[in-house]
Amino acid sequence: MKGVCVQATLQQGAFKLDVQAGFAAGGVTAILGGSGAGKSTLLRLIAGLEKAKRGQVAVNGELWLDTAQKLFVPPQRRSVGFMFQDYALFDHMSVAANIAYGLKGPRKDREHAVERWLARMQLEQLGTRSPETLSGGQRQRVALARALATDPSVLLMDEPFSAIDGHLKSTLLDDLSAVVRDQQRTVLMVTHNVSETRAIADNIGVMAGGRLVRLGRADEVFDDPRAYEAALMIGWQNLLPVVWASGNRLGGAWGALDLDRPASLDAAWIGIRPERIRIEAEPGAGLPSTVKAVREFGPIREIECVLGNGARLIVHKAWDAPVPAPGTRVGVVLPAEHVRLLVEGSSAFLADQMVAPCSTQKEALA
Amino acid sequence: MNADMAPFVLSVQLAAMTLVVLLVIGLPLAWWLAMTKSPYKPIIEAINALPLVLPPTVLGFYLLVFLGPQGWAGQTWTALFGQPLTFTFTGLVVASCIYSLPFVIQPLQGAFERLDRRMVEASLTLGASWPRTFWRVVLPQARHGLLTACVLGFAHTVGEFGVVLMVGGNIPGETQVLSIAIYEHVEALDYAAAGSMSMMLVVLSFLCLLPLYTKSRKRRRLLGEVAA
Repeated sequence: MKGVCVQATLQQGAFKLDVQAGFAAGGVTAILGGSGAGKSTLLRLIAGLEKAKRGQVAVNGELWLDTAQKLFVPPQRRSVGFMFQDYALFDHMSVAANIAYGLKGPRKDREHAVERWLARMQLEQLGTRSPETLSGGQRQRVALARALATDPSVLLMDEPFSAIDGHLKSTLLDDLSAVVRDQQRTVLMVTHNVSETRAIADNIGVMAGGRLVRLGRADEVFDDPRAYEAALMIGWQNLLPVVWASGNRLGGAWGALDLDRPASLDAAWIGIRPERIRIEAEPGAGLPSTVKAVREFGPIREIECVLGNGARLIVHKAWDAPVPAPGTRVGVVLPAEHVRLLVEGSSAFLADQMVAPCSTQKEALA
Repeated sequence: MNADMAPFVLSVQLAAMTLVVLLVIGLPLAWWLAMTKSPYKPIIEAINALPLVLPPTVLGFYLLVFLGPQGWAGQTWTALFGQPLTFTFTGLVVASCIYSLPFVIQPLQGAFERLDRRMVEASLTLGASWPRTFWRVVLPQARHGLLTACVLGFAHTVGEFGVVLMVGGNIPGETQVLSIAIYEHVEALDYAAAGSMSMMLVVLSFLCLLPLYTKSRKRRRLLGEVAA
């Protein structure tokens, strides 16, 4: 029953959100996607700030929305913490009053809770200050304390790091990570930044065109995005279109590949991580290509290879590994076990998403 | 009380009463106008703005007919409370409310429209009810619009003449407000009395308007705390 279940559609003018997914309880799920993908709308739907046309939203087994039953729990009666993109702090109140805003109970208890949160977020000296006078990082910590102080069932964060840069961001990511893990929170965090996602997320959801095209454990998604849009979003550069498939073999204008499993035209693309590609000195081994450039990125050397049809492949090697010089003809080998088949997710529904919270929800309702 | 002070006190009483009534009516109405997507919104806005463009005598005439013993509002009021509305202080408050309505509604509506909606949403997601959200977040965030509405509503009522004369007449201690008393003194060629009363009106209006143009941090903090 634990977790967040969303099975809903929502129409806003020409934009349609259609999400069928269960988000696991405990830990951080990063929702990645380009602008207009529907990430923020999904969070707003869960918080009750947007109304779905059809569907259900349930958190930890508690129904918050069910259009079939005409049930809509308003945001003020949902146990959510919502962190807005630029925090929406109440500038007419002190930092302490902001954190105390959602607290209930005797005055003494509320005061103690505020003191605890001020200490937890290293804001002890700033309780009486106006949020207007704080730095970006301090404002973010106030917003996080305010959202968590009410002990919500789910914490929703809309691009929480977009206004913060550099070193401060990594400190805040560590802080957030510690707070969230400390308290076994269920967090949904919208972002378009892959490095933030790598740093903090246990699970990743990728949205495109109003749909969740991939949802899974972070390491699984980074290893196999399954959806073409998800691969693009997590920064995969080695993507080749599939024009034909026969048995275990598939190909396109760039050449052909033998897989260790049946190929199908359902997967319109193949992708592979740059460190998985092998470069052979003999052009006949693998796909014939020419080394166009070699770049140094700290401990990694990036080799850009151009295939016969002009398609580019990026290969990563350790800084001390031998690399061919630019202009050299080489063979690029894509090991079958590392080649991933990618469907165009926004047009093909992925059935095996993490639906556990939803299926238990359905059983409970039945 | 000094006879010269009676119209002044009456004007202040009238403006204060009118402002209280207008805030009670105006806050929800302005909120509705700011938030609604109703097709009737332009009609309500145009009706609300009528007192801005109509000559006070026209407005006063209709109010006299409407609130008078033959008008349905006047008849209903008399049936309920046993007193007429016209030529009474209560009638003046009703007329002033209609006359000064746009001066209160429009600044409030503007402030509500400029409000950062996410503040309201943040309050709701923190579990605050709508009334609490309105009192603790909306009003403090709209405090400049609220102050403008209060000042304009009060000052405009203090300065009204035509509507007051039509609906209230000129009854000393009951409906003879400052502007009417000045007019009467001028008609009686008592320029000294008219001059001192006019100066009272100038000073009162100036004192009303001054806070609008004083952007001191202290006032902002005070207003924030009052609303909280």
